[in-house]
Amino acid sequence: MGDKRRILIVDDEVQIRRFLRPALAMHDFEVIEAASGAEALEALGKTEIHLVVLDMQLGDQDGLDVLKRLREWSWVPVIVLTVRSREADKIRAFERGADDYLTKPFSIAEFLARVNAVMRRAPPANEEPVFEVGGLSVDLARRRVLVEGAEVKLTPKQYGLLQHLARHAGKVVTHEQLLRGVWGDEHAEDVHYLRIFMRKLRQRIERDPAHPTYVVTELGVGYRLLAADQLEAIAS
Amino acid sequence: MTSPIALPIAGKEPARPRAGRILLHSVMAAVVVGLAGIAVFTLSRAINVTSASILFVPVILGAAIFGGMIPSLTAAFASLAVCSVLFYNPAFFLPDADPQEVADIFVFAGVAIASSQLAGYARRAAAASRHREAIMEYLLAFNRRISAVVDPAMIPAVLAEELSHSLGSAVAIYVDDAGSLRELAAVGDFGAVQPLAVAEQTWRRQERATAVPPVYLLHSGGAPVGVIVTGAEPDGRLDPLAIAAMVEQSGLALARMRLALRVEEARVQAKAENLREAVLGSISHDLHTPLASILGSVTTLEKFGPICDENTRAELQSTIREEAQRLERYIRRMLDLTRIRAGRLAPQVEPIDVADITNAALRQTQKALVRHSIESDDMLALPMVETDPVLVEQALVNILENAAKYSPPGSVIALRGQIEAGRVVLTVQDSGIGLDGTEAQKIFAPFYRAADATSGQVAGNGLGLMVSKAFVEAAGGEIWADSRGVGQGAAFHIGMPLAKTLQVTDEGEAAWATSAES
Repeated sequence: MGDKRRILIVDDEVQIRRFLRPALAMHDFEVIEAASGAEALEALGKTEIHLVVLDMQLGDQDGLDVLKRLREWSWVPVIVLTVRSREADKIRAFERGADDYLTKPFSIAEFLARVNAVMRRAPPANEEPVFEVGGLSVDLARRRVLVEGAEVKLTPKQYGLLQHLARHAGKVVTHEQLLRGVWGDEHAEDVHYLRIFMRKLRQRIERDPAHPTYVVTELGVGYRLLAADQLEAIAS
Repeated sequence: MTSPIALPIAGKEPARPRAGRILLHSVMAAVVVGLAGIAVFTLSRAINVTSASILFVPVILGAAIFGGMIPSLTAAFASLAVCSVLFYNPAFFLPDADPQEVADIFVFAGVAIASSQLAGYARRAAAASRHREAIMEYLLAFNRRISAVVDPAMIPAVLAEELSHSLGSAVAIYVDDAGSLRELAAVGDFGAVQPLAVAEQTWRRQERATAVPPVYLLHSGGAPVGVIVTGAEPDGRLDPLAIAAMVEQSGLALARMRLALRVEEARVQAKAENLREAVLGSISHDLHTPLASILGSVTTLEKFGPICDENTRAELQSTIREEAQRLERYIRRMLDLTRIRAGRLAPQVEPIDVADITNAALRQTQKALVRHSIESDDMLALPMVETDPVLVEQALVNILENAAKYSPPGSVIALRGQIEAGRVVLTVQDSGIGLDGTEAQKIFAPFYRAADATSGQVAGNGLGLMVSKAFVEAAGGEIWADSRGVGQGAAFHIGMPLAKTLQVTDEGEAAWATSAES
């Protein structure tokens, strides 16, 4: 891990690149900038990149196309930047392999929390098997869930949901991904199931299920199990 | 609307009496003369009748008035016959006739002919006047119906309906529209006639081109305005004068319609102009104010940052942040508005917990509501709703920001949820300036601002609630406002349909069920 982590920012707006650079540099990232899709693909071919921040509107170019081209040969984590009220775009970005999205305008704290969440790989089965946020602890190896130190009994499906979210902690998991992952492909459209089970899961793990702090709903997109730094960013 | 009245038929009144009637009247006249003869004869026995024949004149007059020429002549001959039998001496022979008797012949015949002519003339005059009166009444009714049409755009349709009924044929109305003819209304079946072609031909020549089917040029103030084409020759008994008058009235009605439409158009244009000006003014103000604060703060920091104390710097920074957020909110509204205008809302309706929507909205408005205390019902106690959560959340954010703007700092903003008439109603109750009865309706109109707000104490552009309404309605819900009165706070309600209930076991088996989900 001695190498500096390299991050590629793809945005045609120089101001956005300029404002992201210092904060990332301070967090020990090496920043590479690209103003267009072509520049981005070229940079990806030349050096090893650990994370891509991709604007969905690159002037007259569609960020989705860049994402599609990139995904033909690379599995580098990608955070897409979108503008508000384009939920359909977010879903499309997930379908094409984005790892998370951020809606402009965003604060630098939010941005850094997302970057950290995406960079953190899902814990391998025998290494770092415990996910912790606030008073919630999920032991993925022993399938044990603790809330404020006390063990909580979950049904298999409830645990399945939590496990899926914990593996992607900090990132948005879409309705479809959760449904496929927990119930199987034939239930990919049954958002209603998901809502009911999420309600039950929250009743077991949240301090106040009416105002959940661990699993937050991303309206129109999916759910996100907050990572520790995101929880702090919200609290501050 | 009452059905059109029938047009009076020309020439119906002075119709010739039939032969049977004439015969009947003649026989009656003869019988009356006979009876009169017997009566006079009986009378002449008692008193001295100097000129018996004069007494038959009233009978002949009566026959002339009631029966006409032939019955009155019959009465005259009958009178002569009766007189010759009863009174003339010895019998009635011309060569040695009494001059008195010869005079009687002329008197009887003269009275019969003159009085029957006079009576006939009077009868015809009365009938003609009745007919004219009926036409006048009809035209008046026709006019009343046309002028009773409130919406000028409806005039042609009503006109066509009335004309078609009166003329008993199909009717099409064309009006001059910048040089070419435009069909305004058509009623009935034209058969082989091409009404537009006929109308254009007439219009080009500015005169009636063909007699069949009849075509009428419409004028107003001497200038041609349009053409009426009919499908067939009108009933031959229709009074041509009445038709001409109707056509003239039609021309006036169409001219009135065009004038009214033009006035309406001008009014709409003026209103749009006002709205545009209001929008521009609002945009200019709402964009410039935060920009001025941001630029001012930044330049201050650049120039005096190093010599400012920590507090001042922090204040300037938070000004920049708050004003930028204000700018963001404003741009968001404008974008929402554009989406509504462009019809690009494309709602994604799905079952969702109300708590998910309220939590997201409260998260969004955390900063705006920092100076108010929020009281919230337990939204998890509510059943799921079926709506577009993103649109409803954005509407709720607008309402919450609004509540914060119009309520004094430190006051309570309550978020309530209840089931009402088969739907979930979410209510935001603030402690602000409230609404009066009429405001509750107007408040969702674009650029509407509370009276206090226009004085500049409260920032805003009057778009938030309009956007909220459009969003909630697109998401399949309803939105409305009420208030206990001015100064008593306002309540905004969002109604959302319930989701179907779904029974779920812990194993994830689900089936649609009517019973409530626990």
